[in-house]
Order: sequence, then C-alpha cells, then structure tokens
Amino acid sequence: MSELIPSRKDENYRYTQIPLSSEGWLPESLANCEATKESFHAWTSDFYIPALKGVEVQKLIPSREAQKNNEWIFLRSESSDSKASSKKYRGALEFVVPKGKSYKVFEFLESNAESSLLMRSIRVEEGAELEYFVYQNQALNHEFVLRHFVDLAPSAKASMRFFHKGSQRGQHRVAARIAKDAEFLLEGATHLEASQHIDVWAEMQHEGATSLSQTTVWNVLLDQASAVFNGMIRILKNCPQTKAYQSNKTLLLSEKARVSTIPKLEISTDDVKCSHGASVSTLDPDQLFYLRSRGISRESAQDMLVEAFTMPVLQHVPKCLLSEHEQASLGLKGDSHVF
Amino acid sequence: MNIFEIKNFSVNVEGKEIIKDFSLSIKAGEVHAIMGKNGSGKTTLSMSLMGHPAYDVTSGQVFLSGEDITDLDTEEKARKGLFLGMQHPVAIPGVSVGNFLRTALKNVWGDKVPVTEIRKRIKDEAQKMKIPAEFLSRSLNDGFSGGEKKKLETLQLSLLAPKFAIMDETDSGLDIDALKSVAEKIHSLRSPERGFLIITHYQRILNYVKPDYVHVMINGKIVKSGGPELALVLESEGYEGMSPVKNEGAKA
Ligand SMILES: Nc1ncnc2c1ncn2[C@@H]1O[C@H](COP(=O)(O)OP(=O)(O)O)[C@@H](O)[C@H]1O
Ligand SMILES: [Mg+2]
Repeated sequence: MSELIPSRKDENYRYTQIPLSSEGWLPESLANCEATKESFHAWTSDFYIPALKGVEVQKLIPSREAQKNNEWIFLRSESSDSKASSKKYRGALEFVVPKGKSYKVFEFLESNAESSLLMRSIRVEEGAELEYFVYQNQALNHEFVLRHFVDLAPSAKASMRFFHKGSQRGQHRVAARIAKDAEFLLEGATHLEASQHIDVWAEMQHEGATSLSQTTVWNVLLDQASAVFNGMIRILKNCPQTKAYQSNKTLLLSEKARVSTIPKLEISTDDVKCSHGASVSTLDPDQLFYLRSRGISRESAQDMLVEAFTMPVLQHVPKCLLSEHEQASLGLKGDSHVF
Repeated sequence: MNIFEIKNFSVNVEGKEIIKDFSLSIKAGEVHAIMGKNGSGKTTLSMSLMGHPAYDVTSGQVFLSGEDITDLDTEEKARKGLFLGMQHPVAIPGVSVGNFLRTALKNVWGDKVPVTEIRKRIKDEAQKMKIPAEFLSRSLNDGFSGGEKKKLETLQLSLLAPKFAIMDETDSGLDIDALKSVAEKIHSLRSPERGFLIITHYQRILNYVKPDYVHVMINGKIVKSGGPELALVLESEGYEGMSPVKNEGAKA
C-alpha cells in the first residue's frame, strides 16, 4: 500500500503538482475512488497492480478479424457525449497478448469529464508482440491519473508510445516488468502550454538476463507549462547482459516553463549497461535561419521545428484513427509529413 | 541594371570585425566568383547578406534589383528573390525534405499556385536531377552525404528560381561526378535576368560555371579582381602572391 500511495514526504513526489490528499495521489474529485491492493489476476500477485474498488475490470478481447489482419484495436475510454452528468471517470482494463500473437492497440483519451482514473494491466506472453499508442487530448480542465502496468514474459516484445496534449494536470505511470530476452520500448511526448502539467513515471524493472528497455520522453513546453520525468531503472539479481537506457529531452519555449528530470538506478547485477540522459534546449537558431532563408515565415518555421521535435513519437500514431481536425492540429494532415 | 549591390558592408562576429567595408556590384546576367582561403570571411559575408542573427552587420547596405533589402527579415529577402546555397546546410531531423520544399514554395509563391501543382513541380524537378523519390521522405539534411546536401541546395535553387543566388562552396566535399552534375545544373540556370555569386576556394567549379569576374578575398576584403583567367593564376600560384591592395576593381 505504501508503495502505491505516496505521501508528501515521499521525495519522489516533490515535483509533481498532482494534489495529494490524505488518500494519496488522487485528484480531489476522485478521492472516494480508493485504490486497493487486490490484484487483477493471479499472475500479477507479486506485482502491485491496484484494482479500484467498485470498478469492474474490463477485458479486452480483439475480434478474430482484427487479429487476423493485424489491425489496430481502437480503445476509446469514454466518448465525449457520454452522460454529461458524470464528472469523474474511472476505468480498469486488462488484457493478455497470447503466445506468438501480435496486437496493436490505440488508446484514445478525450474525456470531457472533470477527472479520470484509469488502470491498464497488460501481459505480453512469451514471444508475443505488442504495439501500443496512447493519445491523450482531453479537455483543458481535465485532471487524470493513468497507469499502464506491462508485464513482459521471456522473449516478449512491446513498444508503448504516448502523446499528451490535453488536460490541465495529469500523471502517467508506465511500469514494466521485463523477463529474460524481453524488450520494452517506451517513447512518449508531451506538448503543453498555459499552465498544463504532466508528470510521467517510467519504471523499468528487469527480471531476466539479456533483457532490454529503452525509454525516451520528449517534452515541448510553452508558457508556464511544466513536466516531470521520473525515471527508474531497476535491475534485479542475476540479470547479466541487460541493457537499459532512459532519456528525457525538453524543448523549452518560454522562460517560465519548467521541467524536472528525476532519474534513479537500482542495479543488483554487475554485467549490465545502463544510462540516463537529460537535455534541455531551445529552438536552434541555425535551423530557424535555414528554414527562413527559404522564405518560410518565422512562425511557420517555429511550428515546423516544434512538430519535428515530437516527430519520433508522432510518426507512429495510426493516422487513420485520428480525425482530420486532430491530424491537422498535429501537422500530420494529408501527407504533409511524408513518413 | 545592377541585380545585386553591396555597399560599404562591414560585419562583426563575436565582436571581431570579419568583413571590412566590402563593396561589390553585379549586373543581371553576370556570374561573379569570390575566391579565398579558409577563414578569409566568405561564409561570414554570405550568411550576413542573408541575415543570420549571429552575424552583426555594423555598416553598409545591400540592394536587390535596386531595392534596399539591408534590414529585411531573412524570409522577406528570400521572397524577394535572394537565395543562399549554404556551405554547411544544417540537419533538421523530423522535418521531411518534401514537407520542407512544399512549405517553402507555398510561402514564396503564396496562394497563386495550387498545392497539387507545387507537388508536381517538386517531383518533376527532383526527377530531372536524378533525385530518387524516397529522398523526399527523409529528414532534411539528416545523415546526408556531402554530395546529397549540395544536390538538395541546388534543387532548391532551381525550384525557387531566385533573382540572385549566392552559392557558398557548393563544390566542396563533392567527388568529381557530383561536382559535375551540380555545377552543370547551376550553369543551366544562368539567365540574362539572374545574377550569381559563386564562392569557392578551388578553381574547378568555375570550369563548368564560367564566371565573368573573379575576385580574390583576403581578411574580409577584396584584394584583387579580374576576368576568369584570375582563377587559373590562383590555381597555379596560390593566394600567397596576392598582396592586399585597395578594393578598386570590385565594380568591374
Ligand atoms: N560563428 C563564429 N564564431 C566565431 N568566429 C567565427 C564564426 N564564424 C566565422 N568566424 C571567424 O570568422 C573568420 C572567417 O570565417 P568564415 O567566414 O567561415 O571564412 P571562410 O568561409 O572564408 O572559410 C574566421 O576567422 C572564423 O574563425
Ligand atoms: Mg566558408
């Protein structure tokens, strides 16, 4: 329980702006939505996956058709026109990618509710593959807590990408357990303005030899926006030849924008390769000059460079699942980006 | 008429004067070459003419077709028809060549030309220059070879069809075949309405793009001007023999 629900004393939460009530990290409107330590499933018993009291866990089972064609499975947490009266939204979901299968999941978060608390627990079985994209563009007064627990069996492969553009405040925690020969790629981006705040947690727990994790989070921060990157690489005993890399890159477009990068390492095996990196930059004057020297206005040139910064993530968004409007706002409309 | 004119131009870089009271006039249809050793100030001149913020213009004026463009924003200069082919084009990961070219042409041509037409012209021109279509989906100058970078600069020159083009060491870092194709392309773009300033420190590009005038630059000043034969003299005798003299022949 203590690991689950931090208090203000916990130094990990020093930087976050998520309000901490006595119940823990929940936005106030969700305070009665208690986390418990009941686990979702037997296989998670030693991994603290929280369940939400009173929330039914949904199971995601892709259609045979979708599986056969390796189509994107479209997860829409709440449609924008759902009960206008519901101010809070809670959801829990779990699924397993069975042995030898390969799933692609697109999670689209666009709730108009005041706040949301979403838990996802995902098991990728031996040799299975998962590609997952989380696209968050919720109303600008929204507050959210989002958790992805990813459990990778030996030789499983998963890539998870996220893009946070909406919400007033939010915390997104991705925790992975990575078994022998398994690989986890986490690539995320935030694009925040006004007083938006996003707190990202990336916790990679390596539990087997020759496992790999690679985490990169790009932040674009305007105005007084702020972002936190909490990175943890934990390598348990007897995990030789493990590689784990984390990096956080921030494009600061205002003097009042803030980023805090908090990297942590806990390594109990000798023969491993690990790295943490963080960089903060502003727009590159040479790049701006190059674009402007071809007649591109200063504003367009800036927009292009900002888009380019998060392009490593956005180039993977399943464009076909976004509305025209959404694509245009990302600079992805038509073939404007030929990726 | 002078298509391009630089009058008493001085430029500081990090507080040090690199370009010193530089003047040069170029008539429509002419090709001028500036030759000079590394560090003589050629890139400083070209970047400051285009308005790079790191170069501090302390005095002088620049005219394009008789219009004073000294204080215009870089994009305005480009839209009015000034082009700079850069010595070291910067890499911009995440911006594709195709997107960049379309955006540039849209900005320069305005809404006159429909997007489909812009797309077609880019495709046709790339094809003519034997640039493969995949190239357009790569990130701008990112991981490009020297030859690819200069080919792309030349493609932009061709598409933007400027009134006046400054080509800063378009020849350096190219093997003979790449040099030949790039130089021939530049040569084909010569016209009675257009002027060129070819900046180089080798003579070889001038075999393909024959200059009307050659100027020798030392320490931010033109020390000698002459016809195309001057390039050959430089090639055989080097810059050592060139003694700084008064900048007089620049108007040619
Ligand atoms: N960004 C810069 N910062 C400091 N010094 C510079 C910079 N750019 C050019 N210089 C200096 O200005 C002089 C001229 O350089 P440059 O214009 O690049 O010459 P060229 O193009 O003829 O080789 C050199 O002494 C160089 O060191
Ligand atoms: Mg140079």
